[in-house]
Amino acid sequence: MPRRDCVAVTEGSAHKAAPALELRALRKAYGRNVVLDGVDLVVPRGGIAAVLGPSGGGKTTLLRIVAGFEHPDAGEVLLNGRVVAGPEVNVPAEQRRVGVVPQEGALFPHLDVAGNVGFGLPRGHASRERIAEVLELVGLPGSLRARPNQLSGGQQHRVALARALAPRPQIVVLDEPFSSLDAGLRAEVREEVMLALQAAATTAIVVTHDQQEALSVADQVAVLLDGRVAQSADPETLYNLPASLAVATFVGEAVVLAGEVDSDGRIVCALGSLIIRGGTRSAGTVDVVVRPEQIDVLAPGFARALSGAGEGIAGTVVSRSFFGHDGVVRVLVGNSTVVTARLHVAHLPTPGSAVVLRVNSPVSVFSRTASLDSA
Amino acid sequence: MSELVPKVQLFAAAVPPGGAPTGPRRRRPPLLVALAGTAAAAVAVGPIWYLVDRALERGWDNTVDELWQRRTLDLVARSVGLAVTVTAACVLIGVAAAWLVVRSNLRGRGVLRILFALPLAIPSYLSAFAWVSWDRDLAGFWGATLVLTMVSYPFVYLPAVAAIRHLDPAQEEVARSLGRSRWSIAIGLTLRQVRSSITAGALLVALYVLSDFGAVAAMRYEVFTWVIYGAYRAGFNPTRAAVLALPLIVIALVLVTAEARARGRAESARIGSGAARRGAQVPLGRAAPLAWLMSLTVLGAAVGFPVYRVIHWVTTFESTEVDLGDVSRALGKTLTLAAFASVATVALAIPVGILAARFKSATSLAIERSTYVAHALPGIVVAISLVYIGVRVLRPIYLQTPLLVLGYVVLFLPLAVGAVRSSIEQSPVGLEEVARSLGTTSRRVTLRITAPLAIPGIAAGAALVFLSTMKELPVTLVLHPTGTETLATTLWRYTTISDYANAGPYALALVLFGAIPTALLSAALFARRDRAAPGLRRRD
Repeated sequence: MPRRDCVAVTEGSAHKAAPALELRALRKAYGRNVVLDGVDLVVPRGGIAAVLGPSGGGKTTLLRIVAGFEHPDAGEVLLNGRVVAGPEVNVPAEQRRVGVVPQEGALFPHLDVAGNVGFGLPRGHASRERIAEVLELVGLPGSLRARPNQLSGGQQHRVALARALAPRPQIVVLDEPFSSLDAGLRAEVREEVMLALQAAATTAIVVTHDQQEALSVADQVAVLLDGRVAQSADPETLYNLPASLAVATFVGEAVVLAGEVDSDGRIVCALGSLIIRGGTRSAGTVDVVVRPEQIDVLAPGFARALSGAGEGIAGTVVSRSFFGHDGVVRVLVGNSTVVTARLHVAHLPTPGSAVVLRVNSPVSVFSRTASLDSA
Repeated sequence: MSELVPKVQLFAAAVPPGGAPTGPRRRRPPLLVALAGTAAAAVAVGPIWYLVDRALERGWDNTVDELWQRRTLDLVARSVGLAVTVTAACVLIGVAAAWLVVRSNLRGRGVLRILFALPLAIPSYLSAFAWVSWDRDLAGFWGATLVLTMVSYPFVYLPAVAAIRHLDPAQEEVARSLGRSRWSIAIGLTLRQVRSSITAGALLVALYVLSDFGAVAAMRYEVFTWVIYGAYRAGFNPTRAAVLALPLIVIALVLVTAEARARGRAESARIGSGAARRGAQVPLGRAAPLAWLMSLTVLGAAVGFPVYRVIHWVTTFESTEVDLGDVSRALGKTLTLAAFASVATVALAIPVGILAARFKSATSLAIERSTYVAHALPGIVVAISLVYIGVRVLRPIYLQTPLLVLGYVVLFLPLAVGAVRSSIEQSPVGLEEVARSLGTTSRRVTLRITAPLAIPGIAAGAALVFLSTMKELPVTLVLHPTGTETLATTLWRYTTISDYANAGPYALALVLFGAIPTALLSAALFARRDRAAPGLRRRD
């Protein structure tokens, strides 16, 4: 234990500026199946980063390479500025000090909670205190003697996190940590785990395919598409200023329309002439991304009264779904374009109603060639 | 995954996802493990290869001549006839018993559920002697049918219980909502769905009947095993025993293959992950006393009667001069042999289990499967093949303890490999990775994670080998060192000359030290795994 702390201190002071984790051009293939194809990622210290990607997209492989269970075919992994995996380096998992929280928790079934949490600690009084401390941190004080099979799914997760945190790792990696919990429990456990991670002031990487989860828990979200990091940014930027059409449609719901940039620098599409916020633009036909909540749905009379604020586009409600806190309507605009709009009202317009749609904020556009490149 | 050769599934658990979806490891196993595994495979396959070589040594024509006789046909007819009759009876009893304890509202079904599995622990020759000593006229086909049915119906009963328990009650509820009666559901839906499990169990019964030696010998019914033993004893034509073993090996391999396929179907037929709810109990109404009567008749004939006869022998003939010193010497010898056998078997099974569980490759699969070859072989065939090896190659240890222990190893290796493999799989790779990420070296991980998780299962496997060795008859009878007697061989010697007074204490010792612990161990294992052990194999 003292040795460990010592190492951590010297490392920390030697590379004060270094990020907790840095991946450089990481490549990994299984036979012909290229899973990671040049991944670059920087995770600063103390934050929670999410790696978001579709199932089977190489997220778990990424974590396993960071933890030291797999070796990359090319590229480097740096922990606090020190290369732990690279062409000539392969620090074994047991020397990396990367805390791992696997999908199902993977508690050691033959050990009680104290035995699990204390597994990575030397025997002794200091360790007993540390066990109590991290259990307190994850909100499970006093349940030292319980067996893994006596714990609920959520408790198992928290014990697994405590076990990973106990030896004060340089970084904690969590692999789809909440996917095995049912929906009701998931939000609650997620909240507790994130609070514990923040309290421990540990850098953490959460791998997930759930975009809601990634956006809500992380300070930084890296979208992993086709073996590369398509974009790495804070959640707001990621959602509002996606780097590509692929990111825009993968993160959050999106209405994608064809449009042309006019001489004023505005974009003309089925929803009218709109202000451009970000994305890539070029001459010719571009893809316009509009989020459902950017579209206001107004009754025709009300829209006329507000006509000074800009003309709307007339449409007809095709269908609607009510979710309680909000609802969406699908509206037919023109001959064949159906757009989805999200409304925060108690009563949704019924199918067949005539409505006026108006986009309330700037939108992102992407040139078609660029989006083809990234796909 | 349907396998050519069935796994011994006593301890098989669903392998939890190890958190490693990145495909199988392609690491190379340590050289020592690979060598030891290969050695185990050679031990398992060697004797049979040698036997077949012997049988064909005078050329194909000679072998065909030897087999192409009227009496061979008679032999096949008798063996198959016995197997078919016993299997049919076992299916009836096993399925009825399983349905009663799982789906009926019969009072005391919890107790019955355990009791119905007990006959698995009774050695067939003991049961046979119990019956034939009571009525000599039972000897022959019907006596053999009775005894073999009573000792082997659990092969159908256990998988049927597991299959019926795993049925989704929602299906039956749907059937009822569609207007089907309970009885028509029981026959048309429940039974049809568990058919594959029952088929697998039935094939195991047939396999056992063909390989059983003790019961048919005691009942003097001339089927393959008994005739092979006779040919060996006569010593007149040593090749004849080997030649006669050939058709038996072929039939056994066919049965084993069919059983593996049936079990594969049974496992794939299970949809979804376990029905949490239990099906509703079907009220028996006025049929309840009849159900109890049938249950007690079966249990009485299978367990009660043999135990009663053993006690009868001991108490009735107490005046005769039974040398308790001899009994304790035989017991001591039996325990010693069983200890040797279980240690040697598990020692060879560990490298095979490690290869199969952790280093999956075509080679490790071949090694694992080769150790299951003996699973298909009757004990008497294994015994005869070891005689040939002993006489020709291993002369120094022929009729010595090491060769006998080798015989046990060949016989029980499948049991031990299954136990070791599934025990190691108990500790998924994911756990070991987590342990390493916590700063533990690979060797310490083996000590702190893999070993503690695997040892209970391996120990249970060793105990099973130990108990099976105690009750084993044909290999012991053929290979036991001159002058050393075990419980089984002494019991055999006295009972074949109808000296039940002297047989009594040995039979009692066998029940107390062999049958009862076996029953307790199986009960404990079934309780742990609530799944049938279709690969469970009796060897006596």
